[in-house]
Amino acid sequence: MSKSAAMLKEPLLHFLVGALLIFVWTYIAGDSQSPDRIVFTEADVARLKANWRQNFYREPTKAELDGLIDAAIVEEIYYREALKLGLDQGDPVVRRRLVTKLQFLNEQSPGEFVPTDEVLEDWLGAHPEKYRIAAEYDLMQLYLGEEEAVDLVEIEQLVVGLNAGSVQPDQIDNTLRMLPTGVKGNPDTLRDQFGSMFTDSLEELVTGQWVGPIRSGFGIHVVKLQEKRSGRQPFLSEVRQRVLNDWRVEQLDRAETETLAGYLSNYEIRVFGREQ
Amino acid sequence: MRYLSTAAVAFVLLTGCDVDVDIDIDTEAEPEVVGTAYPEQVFWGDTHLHTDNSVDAFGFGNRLDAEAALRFARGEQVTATKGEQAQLSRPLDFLVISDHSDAIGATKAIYEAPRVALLANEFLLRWHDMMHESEAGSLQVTAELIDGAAMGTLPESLTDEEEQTERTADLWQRHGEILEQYNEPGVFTAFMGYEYTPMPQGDNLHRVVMFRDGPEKATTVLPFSSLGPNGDPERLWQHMESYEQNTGGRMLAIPHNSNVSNGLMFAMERMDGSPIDLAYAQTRALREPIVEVTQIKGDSESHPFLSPNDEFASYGIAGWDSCNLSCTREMDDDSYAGSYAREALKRGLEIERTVGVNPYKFGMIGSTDSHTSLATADENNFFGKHTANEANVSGRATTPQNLGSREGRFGWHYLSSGYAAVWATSNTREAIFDAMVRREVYATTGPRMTVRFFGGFGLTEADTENLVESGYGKGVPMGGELAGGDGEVPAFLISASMDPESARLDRIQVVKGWIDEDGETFETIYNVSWSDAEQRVMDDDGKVTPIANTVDLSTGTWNKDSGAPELMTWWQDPDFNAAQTAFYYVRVLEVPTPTWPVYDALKFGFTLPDDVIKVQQERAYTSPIWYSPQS
Repeated sequence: MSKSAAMLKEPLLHFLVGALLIFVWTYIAGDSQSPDRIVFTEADVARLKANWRQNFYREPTKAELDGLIDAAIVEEIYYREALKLGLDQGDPVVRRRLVTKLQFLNEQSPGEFVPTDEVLEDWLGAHPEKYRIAAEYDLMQLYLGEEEAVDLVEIEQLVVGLNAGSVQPDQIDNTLRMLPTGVKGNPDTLRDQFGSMFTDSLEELVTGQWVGPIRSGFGIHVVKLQEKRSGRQPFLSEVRQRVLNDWRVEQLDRAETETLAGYLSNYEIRVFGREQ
Repeated sequence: MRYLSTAAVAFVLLTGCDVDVDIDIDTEAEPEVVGTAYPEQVFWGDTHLHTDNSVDAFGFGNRLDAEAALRFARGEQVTATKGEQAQLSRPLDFLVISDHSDAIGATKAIYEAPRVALLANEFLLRWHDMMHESEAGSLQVTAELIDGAAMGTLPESLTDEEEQTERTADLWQRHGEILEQYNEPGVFTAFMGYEYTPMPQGDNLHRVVMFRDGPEKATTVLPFSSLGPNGDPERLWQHMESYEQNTGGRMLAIPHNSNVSNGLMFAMERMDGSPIDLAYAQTRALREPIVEVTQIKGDSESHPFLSPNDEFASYGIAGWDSCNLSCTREMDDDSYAGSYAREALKRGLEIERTVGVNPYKFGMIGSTDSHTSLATADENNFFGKHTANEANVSGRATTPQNLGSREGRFGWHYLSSGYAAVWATSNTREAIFDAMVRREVYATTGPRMTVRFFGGFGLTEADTENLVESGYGKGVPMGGELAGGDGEVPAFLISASMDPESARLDRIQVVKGWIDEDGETFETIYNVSWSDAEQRVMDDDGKVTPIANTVDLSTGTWNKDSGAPELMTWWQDPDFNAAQTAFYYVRVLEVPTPTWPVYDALKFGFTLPDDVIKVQQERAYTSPIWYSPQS
């Protein structure tokens, strides 16, 4: 006789399996309360107390506990009456909630969402632009006025003068006083400060040279690039959390697609007006 | 021996059904974020955003979760529920996801359904299914189980007792884990928070509750529900105090939508009708240091009924000022005073006179209250309040959209507003929270204007050359308090810079409220700086020539030459009376620009009805600076 067959004859096994079956059956069947009878057991009251204790760090007073129980009773009654009327059927909020609940639970499967560094390095390598550390700019900027108020010819002359040294930056009346003259940042932080029109012009800057007119949402500037530190690809350690997040989101998307495909295969679907 | 271990395993299987949830946090040390000596940068955020965890959000079909909300706020492109690609023109610096507490608190029951409890562990699940499918199946799995126990090849989670430790993995806990994955000190701050939503008879008393702390402390308590006796905000404040005393953490609560509270939000008495006493005033001032005064469901700063001399008070009131949130109770004349922030600030002075402490001494912020998981407040990139009204829904401006009924309010009544601006010393939970506590914050209706506001004795006009250093060095910033002065007239330094991606500025105003010797309160609005000052003059009533409306509705553009990119001034109150307690706050107005229905009409090619508001002046409101005679 095979090992398995011998095992199957073991009384202990039969007993265990039987016990397990009974346990599971009662677990799944749940408490069966008779209709129109609402029972708040000691465990239910304890749960209300525990929730209260978790938020107030003390036991509820008798009045407070009565209030909680009364509210819970009312809720149970309305819940049952609503079920009797079938209000859960077809309710869009209930439907949506169940969908969300299942989607949430499906995301809880552990195991496949803990990647090795190798997996993350591969991901990083496959998406070079996404994690690239941007160039850092060290600039001097002078604001010359609103677009309609400045003379572009004068600006060209000004740029020549600045580059020749015949005009000094502090001689220029910087009418936007809250914008700093010395600015450091990458294209994202510079865009936050000056707007995207300004950052679009960063590429035309030449180190050590005043350039103008450079436009921003504020108006017209002249800008000198003091120093530029080029962008580079990051080490995984510098961007690990972001890479991990992005990789995980893709895994979740894929898992959700697979799960849905799995569900779909269990259903025969017919739609009016659609070919089968 | 094998069978004993089988029994042990079986026992463990049945009793130790806990869900194993991953914490995908990179545990490598992050560089410390060093704060600046004083706030040098303003940080932009939304303190009021709903995801599919909120009952009403998913009821409308929102399919985006907290993770999508965070990614969107950080500047990533996200597919909105209705399919449109969505991306902010610039990322936000911080976000408070504030789903309704009733939906995310105490949801341990989510795991109590037996099959669900097994779901997370695939081995258990397979076993469970096979047990149900057939006898052969159950015997097979049992055999595998026994084999595994014998060979020592069972999954670790079944045999390692420690893996089975009690982890009440509910939604709130999971939420905390997601936040930690996107919280990046110095780059982006994700706050723990939720919305507490008492709504007695449809009157809005909602507050967003947020934590200074991360999930480790915040998940030791449950999001506070507003059901039953806990619908009185004083209960919430008791809970907040318990949390702080017992964990050393900090919480604050941010009221919003006083405009639909039917006068209750800033009432002159407590919720049970008894008079406001010292204890209440102290507690409220401590627990609610800031108020969200502008958002999608209207603007609560001011109202023409309360401020007939304010020609700009009618912004954001259409559709919101005739009834409460559920539109089950009409607003009567007496209800306005408790519904608008400016009047509430004045009421605070009154109550301080009788009780000794001002309960309504609050700073002001904006936020969206979006239920789409997308924190949008830009007119030309507005994804609406609910997923039924996202950007690719052509009829959204004109369809009736009241909550619960289909009367009274229409799509265009909903504003594409607002954001919270915070002057903090770094982009971290601690620094931003602390800035909110000291009220160094301001509200905007969407555009990211930079506004500075300082007050002090001894500030001179020359200090405008070094406005920020002088302001912090010799005075107090927005949200601060001035006292005493020996009769000297305080001075204010104010600057406002346009959002370079938005429109130029029309003017800066100072709104003053004060209380006289008889206990009566008053308000005056001063125009203190405006564009094109040579052409536009101030008349004897203090009014300044309105700036021209240059909006071309056929293109959705305006004359970019109109207005000023920056306004700055040193100002003193010409009517200052050293004996009278007062507050001053700054209101900044952009030049007129199109509202989001105009962009919709151009995009989809239809004509808007006449009554739709098509032009508005976007604005910022700073927190006040209070003056009192005594030190």
